[in-house]
Amino acid sequence: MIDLQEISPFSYYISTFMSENLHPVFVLGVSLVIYFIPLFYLSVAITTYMGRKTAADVQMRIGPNRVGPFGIFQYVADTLKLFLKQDSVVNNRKAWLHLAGPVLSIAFTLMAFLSIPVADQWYLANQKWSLLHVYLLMVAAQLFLFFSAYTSGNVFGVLSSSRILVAIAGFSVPFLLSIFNIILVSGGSSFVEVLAIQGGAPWKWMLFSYPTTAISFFVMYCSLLIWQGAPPFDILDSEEEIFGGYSVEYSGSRKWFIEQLKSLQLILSCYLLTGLFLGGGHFPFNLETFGRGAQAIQSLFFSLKVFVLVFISYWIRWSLPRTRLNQVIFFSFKVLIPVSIVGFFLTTVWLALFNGKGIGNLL
Amino acid sequence: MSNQNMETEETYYSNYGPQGGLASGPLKLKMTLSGERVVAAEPDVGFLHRGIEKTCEKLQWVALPSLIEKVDYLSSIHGTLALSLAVEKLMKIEISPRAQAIRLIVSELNRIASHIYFLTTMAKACGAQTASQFFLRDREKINNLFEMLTGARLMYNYVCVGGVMSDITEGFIEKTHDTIKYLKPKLKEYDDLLFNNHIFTNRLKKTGILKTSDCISHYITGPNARASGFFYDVRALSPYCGYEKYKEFLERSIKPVTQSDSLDRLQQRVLEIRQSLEILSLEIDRVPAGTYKEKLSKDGKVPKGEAYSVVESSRGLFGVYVCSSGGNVAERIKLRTPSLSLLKVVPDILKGNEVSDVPGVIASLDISVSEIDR
Repeated sequence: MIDLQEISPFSYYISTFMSENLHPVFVLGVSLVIYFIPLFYLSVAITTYMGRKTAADVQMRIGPNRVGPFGIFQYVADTLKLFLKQDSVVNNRKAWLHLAGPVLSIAFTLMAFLSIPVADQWYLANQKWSLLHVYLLMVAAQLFLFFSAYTSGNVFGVLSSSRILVAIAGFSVPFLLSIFNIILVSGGSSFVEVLAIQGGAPWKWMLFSYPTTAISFFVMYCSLLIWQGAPPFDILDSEEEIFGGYSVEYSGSRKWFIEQLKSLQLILSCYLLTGLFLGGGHFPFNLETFGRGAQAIQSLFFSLKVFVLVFISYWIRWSLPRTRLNQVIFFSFKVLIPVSIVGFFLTTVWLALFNGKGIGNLL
Repeated sequence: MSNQNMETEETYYSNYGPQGGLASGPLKLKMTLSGERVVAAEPDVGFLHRGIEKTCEKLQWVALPSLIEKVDYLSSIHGTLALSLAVEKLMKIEISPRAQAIRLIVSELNRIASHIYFLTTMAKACGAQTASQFFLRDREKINNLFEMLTGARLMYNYVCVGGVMSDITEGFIEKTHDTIKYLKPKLKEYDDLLFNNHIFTNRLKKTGILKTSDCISHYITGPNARASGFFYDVRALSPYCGYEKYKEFLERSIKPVTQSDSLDRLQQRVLEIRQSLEILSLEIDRVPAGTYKEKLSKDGKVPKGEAYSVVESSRGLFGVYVCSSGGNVAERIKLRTPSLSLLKVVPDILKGNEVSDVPGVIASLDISVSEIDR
C-alpha cells in the first residue's frame, strides 16, 4: 500500500479533503493537477505580464493595455493566437527530438518544482537529496533544448546548441559549489531540511543568518542567470547574433512552449532562491489560528517573495547589454568559482569557530 | 574562399541575413565559420536596388530631390544638398546667405538625427534594448523640429535648386534652441549608458579594427575614417554652405586615435553629435535676412554641361555627378556613396572575430544598405 504521507505530503494534504476510500494514485493525480495548473499557466501568465510591464516601465513605454483591464488578458490572447497559427515544419526537419524538445524541456523543468516546499508539508515529492535532484533536472531540461536545437537543421540552431552546452558547464560548477555551501551550513541535503533551520523573520533567513551565505546567494543568482540564458548572459537565443538560436525554427504553438519555458525557468530560479535563501513559506507570525488554511497563507507569502525576485530579475534583464560567449565563461570560471570557493572556505572557518551557530543564534 | 583553412580546420558556411538586425537595410553576409569564429565573410548586396540613378534620367530636374533623398533615407538632406549644389554649379546661381544658413542648419540637424539612430542600432546589436529606446526618444525631438520646418519626419524634400523649399517657420529658432538645450545634457546620459557600461565597452574593444591605411586605400571617409585617424571631412577640406566659419573648429576637435575599433567609432559618433550641436547653437543665431530661394526660370531647363559636387553626409563623402544636355531632363546622374567603399573592407574587418561580434562590428560601421544599392 502506498503511504501518501511518506512519498508526497501535498497529496496527503489534499487527501484529507477527500473520501478515504479513494486510491492513492488517483489522489496523486488530482494533487498533481491542483499543483501544476496554477504553476504552469497562472504563474507564467503573471510573470509574462510583469515582464512586459517592467520592460515598458524601464523603457518609458506603456506596455500592454488593450486586452482586458490594464492589458492583463494580453497573455491569453497571445496563447490563443499562437495555438491557432500554423505549426510550420519543413520536411527535412522531421527529427522527433526537434519537435518534442520544448515540451520535454518544460516537463523536466516542471519536475524540478516537485520537491520545493511552498509551505509546511506542501511539496509533491519527498526526496532525500532533492537539492541535487533539482540540479540534475535543470541540466536535463537544458539538454533536451540542446537536442532540439541540434536537430533543427539550422546553422544558428546548431550554434545555439553548442552554446547551450557551454552554458551548462558555466552554470553547473558555481551552482553546485553554492549548493554545497548550503548543505554545509544546514546539514541537510533536501529543501525540507534547509527550510527547517530558517525562520519567518528576515534575520532568520539563510541569506542573513550566516555571513558567507550571501556570497552563495550572489553566486547562485548569477549561475542561474547563465542557466536561463537571461540577460546579461542571453547568449543562447540572442536575436541579433544567432537569430533566436534554439527557437529559430519554431512557430505557432511550439513557439508558445518556448516562451512558456523561458518564464518557467525564471520562476524556477526564483523558487530555488526563495526556498534556499529567503525563508521559503515561513511566515513571521504564528498562523495556528487558521488551521488548515495556514499553508495557503504561507504559499501566498512564498509567491510574494518569488514575484519580488521575478521583478528584480526583469529589472536586471532590461537594464544590461549582452555579454559575449567567452565573457560568460570568463565570468563563470574566473569570478564565480573562485568567489564561491572562498565562500566555502570561510563557511568552514565560521562553523568551526562558532560551533555551527548562525548570526541569529549568537546574538 | 576558405580553401587555405580547409586542411587544418573544419569550416562550415552560413548566410547572415539579408533579413535580420544587422544594418539599416537588407545586407547579406556569406560567412564561412569555424565553430564560433569567422574565417571569411563576403558581403552581398543588391536586395534594395531601386534603380534610382536610371530613374533620374527620366524625370524632370525639379522632381529629382524627392528621389535622391531616398538614396540614404537616414540622412536625406545631404543627398538633396549635393544634388542642388551640383545643379547650381551648372546653372551658375549664387545662393543667398539666408538659404545657405538654413541649409547648414538642416544638414547638421540631420547629421545628429542619423548619428542618434546609429547609437540605437549599435545598442540593439549589443543587446541593450533599453538603451536603444532612450536614443530613439531623443531622435524624436529632431524629427519634431523637421516636422515643424518641412512638414515631414523622414523624407523632407526640403533642399532644392536655388535654395530651400520654404522659409524658416515661426518659432523654429526658439524650438531649436530648446532642443539643443535638451540634447546637451543627454550626451552625459549617453556616456553613462555606453562608455561607463563595462559590459558594453568590453565587448566592443578590439573588435572590428579598421586600419588607417585601409581607409586611405579604399577611400573610406566620414566618421569611420576619422575614428581610424584619417581626417577626411568635406566640411573642412572643401567647405560649402558656409562651413568655412567652422573649419578651424572641426579641425581642432579631433578625437585622438587609440584602437580604431568598434568602440572608437562609437565614441567618434558621440563626439560628432557634440560638434554638430556646437555648430548648430552658433549658426542658429546667425541666420541672416534675405530671400530663402532664388528665382529660377520657369522652363525648368538646365544649361548644357557637367558638374560634380560633394557634401559630408552622416556617413562620409557623398558625391553627385550631373550631366545635362540642356533640356528638362538629366542626361546622366551618378552618385558616389560613402557606404559602398566600406563594404570592401568588411571581409578583412570581420575575419578572426567571433560570431557574437559580427552584429556589433557591422553596426559600428553604420552601413546604409539603401545608399549602396540605390
